[in-house]
Amino acid sequence: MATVTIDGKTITVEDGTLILDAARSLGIEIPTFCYQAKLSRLASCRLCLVEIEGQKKLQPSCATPVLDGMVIHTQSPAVVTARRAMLEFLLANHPLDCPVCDKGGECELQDKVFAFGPREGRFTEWKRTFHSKDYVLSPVIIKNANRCVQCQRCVRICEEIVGASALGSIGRGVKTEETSFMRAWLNCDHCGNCIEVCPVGSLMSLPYRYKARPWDLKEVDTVCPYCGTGCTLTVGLRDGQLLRVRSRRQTGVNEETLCVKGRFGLDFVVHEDRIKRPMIRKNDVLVPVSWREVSNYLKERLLPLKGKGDSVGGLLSAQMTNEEIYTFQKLFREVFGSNNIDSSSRWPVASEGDFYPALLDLISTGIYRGNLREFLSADTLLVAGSNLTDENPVTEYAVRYTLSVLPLHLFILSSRPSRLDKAAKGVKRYIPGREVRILASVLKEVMKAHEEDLKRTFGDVGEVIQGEVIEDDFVRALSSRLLGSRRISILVGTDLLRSPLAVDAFRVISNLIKVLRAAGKECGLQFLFDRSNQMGAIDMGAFPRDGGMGFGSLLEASRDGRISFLYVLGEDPVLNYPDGRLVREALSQVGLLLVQDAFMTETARMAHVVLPGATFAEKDGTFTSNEGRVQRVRAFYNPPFEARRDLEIISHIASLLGVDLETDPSSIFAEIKDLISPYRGVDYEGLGDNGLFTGHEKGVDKGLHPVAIRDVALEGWGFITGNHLYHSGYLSQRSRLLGSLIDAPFLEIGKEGADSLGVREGDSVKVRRNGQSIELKVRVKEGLPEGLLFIPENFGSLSINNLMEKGVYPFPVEVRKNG
Amino acid sequence: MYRENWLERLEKRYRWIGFTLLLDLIDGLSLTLSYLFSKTITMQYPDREKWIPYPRFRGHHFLRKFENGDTKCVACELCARICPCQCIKVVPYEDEKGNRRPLIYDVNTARCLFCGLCEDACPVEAIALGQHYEFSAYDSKKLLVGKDVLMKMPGKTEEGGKVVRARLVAGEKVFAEPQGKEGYHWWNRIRRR
Repeated sequence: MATVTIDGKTITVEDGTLILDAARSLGIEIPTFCYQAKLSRLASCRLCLVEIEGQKKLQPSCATPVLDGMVIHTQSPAVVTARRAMLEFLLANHPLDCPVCDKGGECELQDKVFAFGPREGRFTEWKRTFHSKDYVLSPVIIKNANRCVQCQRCVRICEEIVGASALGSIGRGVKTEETSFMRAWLNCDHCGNCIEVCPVGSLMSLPYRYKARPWDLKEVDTVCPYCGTGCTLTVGLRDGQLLRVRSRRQTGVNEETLCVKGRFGLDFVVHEDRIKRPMIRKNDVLVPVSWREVSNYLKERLLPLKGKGDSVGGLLSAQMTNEEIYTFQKLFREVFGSNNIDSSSRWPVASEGDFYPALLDLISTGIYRGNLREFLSADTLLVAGSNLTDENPVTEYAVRYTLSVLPLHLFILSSRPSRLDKAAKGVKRYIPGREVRILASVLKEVMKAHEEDLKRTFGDVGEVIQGEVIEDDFVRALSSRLLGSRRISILVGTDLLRSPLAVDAFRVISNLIKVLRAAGKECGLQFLFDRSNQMGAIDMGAFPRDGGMGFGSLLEASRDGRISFLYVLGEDPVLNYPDGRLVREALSQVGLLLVQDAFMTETARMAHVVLPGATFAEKDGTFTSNEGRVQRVRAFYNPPFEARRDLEIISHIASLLGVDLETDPSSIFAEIKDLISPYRGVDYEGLGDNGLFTGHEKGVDKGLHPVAIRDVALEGWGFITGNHLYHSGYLSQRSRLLGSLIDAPFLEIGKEGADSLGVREGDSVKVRRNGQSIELKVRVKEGLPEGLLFIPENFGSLSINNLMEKGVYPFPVEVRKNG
Repeated sequence: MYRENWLERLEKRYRWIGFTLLLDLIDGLSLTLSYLFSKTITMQYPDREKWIPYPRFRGHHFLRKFENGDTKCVACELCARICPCQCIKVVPYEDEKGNRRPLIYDVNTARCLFCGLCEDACPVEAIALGQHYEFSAYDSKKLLVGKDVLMKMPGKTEEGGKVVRARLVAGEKVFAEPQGKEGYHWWNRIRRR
């Protein structure tokens, strides 16, 4: 600990604390430019200079750690003069085009000069100019290097947090230009974090260019609707029009970063493809009708089904709010008396009956409901079954940041290569179907080393792993690292959930956590869900319980004509469900298919009744992120045309059946708080900027589950699917900006695979299965295992699920070069 | 301390004589009477004459243009920001030449109090208040003027502060059209003692 005196105030801080941080914790404001929390120290702008007694020269407070007994002045005449001089230097070359600059009004240079700067400049020579017109770096980023103050924040965030390393510096001294290679089109994630950190108007958002001034914007804080990372974001509206999205400093899990979907992908809310009014199928055509007519029709059709639990089913999107999900499952459980509810159509598993119990067991055993950053400050991190870069980019930023500041050992077990591979201590590529064997081998090694502890905790465990294990470098490295760590974190990705062996994988991971805990280590897991409220959907009970049918079984039952009512809320299984033939056949056999959605999806086109719902922009409620963090979603639009909020529609349907359900999110949340144990400590009104964490539920320790190792063999070519960085469902498909970043679906193939097929990047190939075939452009991705292909799942035009089949993963296909 | 001189003392002492004889009243009425026999000095507005205000006058707003016809406005919205009655609305856009220009520039002249702060705030001297003042309307909606109208508005003339010969135009818009530039100042026709 060090005790320092700053401007006459004394404070005791940890050793190694920066003077800047110590001063800020005392409430003393020191102006900075190049300083950005979470980035490496540069100390180039010299704006944060302070005077330390006993040192002749002024020192940059953003890079000088405190020493015990230091006496620091931040307002002495020398400091004030130096500060003013530094600002005068910056202004010497900064063009005074503030009226034109998009940053004007929220520019850090403007603010600093107003607060500290000289009110006149003495510099009369020509200003440095790199170019006369702004140049476009990407479909979303535009650059004006003349305004740059060389703080290098963009370069550092791109390299250290995002990992894209797309920006760099050209030239020296005052002629340094932070830009892309050769000022060419950026080949990056287009995440726009460089725009966010730029203190001046050097890097600007192209979609927001010349649209408004910061003071015109009405800002609403809400949560990103895309993946489960749960980033907070602030949308800026002018005259009710969404103009831009920004993140907030040191708030939420994302802490001033966002990915491309969050920052640029929210324009789907203004897509014209909205369902405008309720529709009923008459003579095989969907006809718009009034709410009154559709209500009468639904009442007539649904009343006989009340209490007939077996013949009804519901599927809802995990992008709905907790309150909607809760009300939806309440409608099914209480009104229809049915347990046939599911919240995702993208995890078809062979043994559906075991899937949710195993998942719930894994959740109650191992989940760490707490801050991701704290979760990551472990000794060892295992990322299993996810290409973090594409699936949960902001989680990846957090991992990369943690790697740069802590001695974290990262191990990646994934089918797809990701950008984190380079930073990992061990990487294992597998063809899905082999993951259980790899994980079980690690478990066996760990169990072998901790036999004593296991006997003490679980008694005689017997043969937990049945089957042959493998021994390779990865297994050896990971297991020895696990044995040497005190704190272990596991991130479980959606690739593991898609596999027919998901249940086995859950059991192995659950066993691994129990074994490591028995050995006296801290061990926890978090999921990497790709839907914003998947965690909440599971917490709310939106899954088949007590013998209910999951969506896969529901489809099979509907194909046999046993389902007379299917309620699909905000989900598009016709596009998403990994068995195109089954889902189309099944949905055409349903007695009454009710689709409630904001957009006219493929499923809605097959429906008997379509109800116009709302997007996330039009409703209030809460999302629960992967961390178990409950955050407020706030409405910033009104539902257009005759659309209604989903909560109102669900309770309207309940009222047709004579049951009254709440429509006010806060009172529903109060009910959730009473009934669902992790939410006990969460108060709807108390959800501030950072949300609140749900609590841990105490898992019942049932000992170790025996697992028989199975493999799913893949002969020839097989493809896996998943999200692309720019697309994760039919919402992102309706974003004009994301659509401009990627125009067509593609096929990723490993280098060896490409050689053996004789294809090169950009060639067209034909992928064929069961008489169905599609043509795709090839992208060669180094690191994809041989025999494995990757096709992103979310391109509506592709109907890729025609090549998929329930219970199979990866999907075997024939690949041929076209022409 | 001010001390009255002998003349002032005398005047004060015998002021009652003037009061009794109504001298001041006669003096004033004689000036009034003299106007009966003078040339008309009432400005014949709007039928034959019109007052052209000084260049400093704050009348209807106008947007200045470059020689190529583009507006000088860069849509920085400082005018809208400083406007005390919030009667200006600016929405910028990027024009085909890549410049920042106003897509919308609306002034609600019904709300405007003609303080001229927008003119002061403008960094590129685009918006200004000119000498045009004949824009009353029967419908208050017509007082909301847009960019196109503002760009066509007459700018400032250096000459001003005179009454010129004019002709009443009573078409769709009603105004007095100046005929020639020669004029006089109405003040010059005021008779004084």
